[in-house]
Amino acid sequence: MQGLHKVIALSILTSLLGACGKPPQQAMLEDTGREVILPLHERFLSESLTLSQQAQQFCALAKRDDTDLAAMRGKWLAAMNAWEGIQNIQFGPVTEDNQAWKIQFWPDRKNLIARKTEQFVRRDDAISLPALQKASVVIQGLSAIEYLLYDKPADALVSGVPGHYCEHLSAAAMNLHQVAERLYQGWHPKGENYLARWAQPGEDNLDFPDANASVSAIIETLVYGVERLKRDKLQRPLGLEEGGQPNPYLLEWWRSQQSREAILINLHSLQMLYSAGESVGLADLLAKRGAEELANKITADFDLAISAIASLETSLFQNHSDPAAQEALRELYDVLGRLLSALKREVPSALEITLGFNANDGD
Amino acid sequence: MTATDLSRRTLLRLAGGALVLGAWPALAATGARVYSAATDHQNRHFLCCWSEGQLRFQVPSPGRGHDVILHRPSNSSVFFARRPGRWMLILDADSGAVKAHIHAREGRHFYGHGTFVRKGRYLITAENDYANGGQGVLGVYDCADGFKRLDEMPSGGVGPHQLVTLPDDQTLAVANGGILTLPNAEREMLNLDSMQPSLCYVNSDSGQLLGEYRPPHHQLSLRHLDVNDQGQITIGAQFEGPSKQIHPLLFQHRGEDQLQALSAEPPVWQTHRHYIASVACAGDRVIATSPRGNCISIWQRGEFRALQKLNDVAGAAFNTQSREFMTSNGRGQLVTLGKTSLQLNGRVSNLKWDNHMDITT
Repeated sequence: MQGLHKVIALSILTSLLGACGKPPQQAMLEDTGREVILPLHERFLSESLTLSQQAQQFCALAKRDDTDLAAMRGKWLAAMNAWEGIQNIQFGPVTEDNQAWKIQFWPDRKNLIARKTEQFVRRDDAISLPALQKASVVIQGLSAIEYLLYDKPADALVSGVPGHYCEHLSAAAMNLHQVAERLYQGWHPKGENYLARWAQPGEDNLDFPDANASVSAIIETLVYGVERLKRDKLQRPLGLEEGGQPNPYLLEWWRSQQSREAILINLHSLQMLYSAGESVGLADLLAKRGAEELANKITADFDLAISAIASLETSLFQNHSDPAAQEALRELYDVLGRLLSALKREVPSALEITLGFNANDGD
Repeated sequence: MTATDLSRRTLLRLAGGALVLGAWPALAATGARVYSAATDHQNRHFLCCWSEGQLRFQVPSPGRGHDVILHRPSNSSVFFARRPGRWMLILDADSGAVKAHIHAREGRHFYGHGTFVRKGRYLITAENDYANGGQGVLGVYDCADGFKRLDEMPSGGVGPHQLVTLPDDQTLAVANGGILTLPNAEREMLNLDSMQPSLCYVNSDSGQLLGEYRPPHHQLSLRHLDVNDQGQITIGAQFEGPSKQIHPLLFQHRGEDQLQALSAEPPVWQTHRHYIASVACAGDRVIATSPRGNCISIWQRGEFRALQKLNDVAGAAFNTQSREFMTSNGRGQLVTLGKTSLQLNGRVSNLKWDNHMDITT
C-alpha cells in the first residue's frame, strides 16, 4: 500500500515538474532562435561565401562563356534564396547600421540600380571593396549583382570586354558575404549573442524590457512579412488593387524572373518562424493560451498560401495576366489578407499584447 | 512629511509602484526632469513628470494628452489635449497640482500644441475653428491672468499643428498640416485630395502672415517642427499620398525661397514609413523620431548621419545640460542618444509615453 502511495506521489510530482518546466514564452523564444533564426542565418552566410568565391573565380578567368555565366547565376540564386529566408526578420543585428539596405534595394521605381551601377563603373581606377562600400547602398549587394548578371552587363561579362563590371561583381559579392558574416556573428551565442538578448527580456534590456516585447518581435516580423507579400510583391506590381494597372517591373527580382520563388521562400520561412517546426513556436504559445483554433487557422492559411503560389508553373513576370495564374494569385491575395488580419489583431489580442502605441497614433 | 512627499507617495502607489531602477546614467545624475502625457495598460490617461528613475507625479488626465511645454516664469507645465480635445491643463511643475483647467472656446478645439512669446507672458495655441468650416486659428492666452483667452488670429492654413517661437520671441513658425478634420467626423481626414500644408510665419503681435512655404508634394502634411538658436526651422512631414511613393520627410528653412529637403538616400526615407512623430534640434544637429519605422534618424548640417532603432519611439527633446537628445516610447522607456549608442535612462513599465516630451534641467 505504502509502495503504491509512493508511486502515485512520484507520478504527481513528475507531472507537476512537467507542467512547470520552462514557461511557454521562454521555450518559444529559445526554440525559435535556435531552431529557426540561427540556421536561416547560417545558410545565408554559407551561400554568400560560395557566391563570393565563385565571383573571384569567374572574374579570374581569361575568357568567360555562357556556361560560366550560368554557373555564376546559380550561386547568385542560392544566395538570393537564402536572403529571402531572413528578409522579413525586422529585429536584431540587421537593424544595426541598416544592413538590409546593403543587401537589397527594391522596389526600384526610378531604375536607380542600373543608373548608379553604370555611373559607378565609368571610372579609371579599379573597383575595390572599400570603394564599393563608400558608394551608394543601392549598388552594394544582391540587387546590383542581379543587374550585372541578368541585364546589359551580362553580355559584356561573357564577350571579354567587361570593363569594371567584373570588379563590381566581385566586390559586391564580397560585401554581401561581409554583411552575412556580421548578421550571423550578431545572432550567434559565440558572437555578440543577440539570441540571448532577445530570449532574456528584462528591465535593463533596452530592446526587450519584458517577455511581451520579445514575443512582439516575432509577431511584428510575421505582420511585416505578410504585409509586404500582399502589398509590395503582389498588389502593386500586378495591379490587384481597384483600378490598378500591372507593372511587372515592380516585381521583386524581375530581371532574373525569380519573384514567384521569392514569395514561396518567404512563405516557408514565415511559417517556420510561426511554428518553429517541431519545436515550441508562436503557434504552440497560442495553443497554450487557449487559442488553439486561431493557431490552427493560421497554420492552415500558411499552407493554402504556399499551395496557391506553388501551383503557378511559370514566372510572374511573363505570365501574370494568364487566367489560371490570375485565379491562383487572387486566392493567394485573399489568404494573405486573412492572415494579416489574424496576425495583426487576433494574435496580439489572444496573447494580451499591444503592437505599437505611438505607431498607431496618426497625430 | 511634506505635502510633496505625501502626494509623491500617493501618486507612486497610483502608478502601481513605478519601478525604481538601478543606477541610471546621465539624467539620474543631473536630476533633469521629463514631462510627458502617458497612457497605462488599462487605457487610462495621465500627465506625468519623471525624474531620477521614478515618477515625480502622475496626474489623471481628462483625456488623451499630446504635447507639454514648460512655463518657467510660473514654474508650470502646460499639457494640451490631443485633437480634437478641448482641454488644457496647467500643472505645478514640481508637484503636479492643478493650477488651471482651461476649456477651449465655444466652436474651437485644440490641436495638441502651443508656444510662449514675450518672455512667457502669452501662450499661443493651435486651434480649429470648426464652427466656421475648419480654418486654423492661433489662440492667445494671458499667462499672467489665469490663462485668460485674449484673442485669436489666423494660422495661415488648415490644421495648424505644432508651432514654435523664433529667437526674436515674437515671430511664430506654424506647421499647418493641411488636413481638414471636424469634430462630428471624429478624426476622419476630409480633404486628402485638396490639402495644402504649409510652414507659415506669423507675427504674434499683429497676427500678420509674414510668409508661407509649401512642401514639394501637396500631401506631405507638415506637423512637427523645432527651431534652433539661429532661427532655423526643421519641420517633419507625414505623407498622406500613395504609400508606394518615397518623399523626403524633413525640411529646413531660414530665409530661403523654398523649404530645403534634408539630404538622404531613398532607403533612409523608406525606413521612416512616411511618418515623423517629433523633431528636436540643437545647433546644427537634428533628430527625428518615427514610431512606424521604429527608428530615430540623426542629422547634421542638413545631411543624414545615422539611424538608431527604438521600438515605438515618438517623444524627443534636447537636454541642454548634458547636451544630449532624449527620446521616449510606447514601452515606457526613456532613452538618451549617446555618441555611438542608445542609453536607457529608465522605464515606467505600466505606462506608454505619448507623442511628445519636454525636459528641464
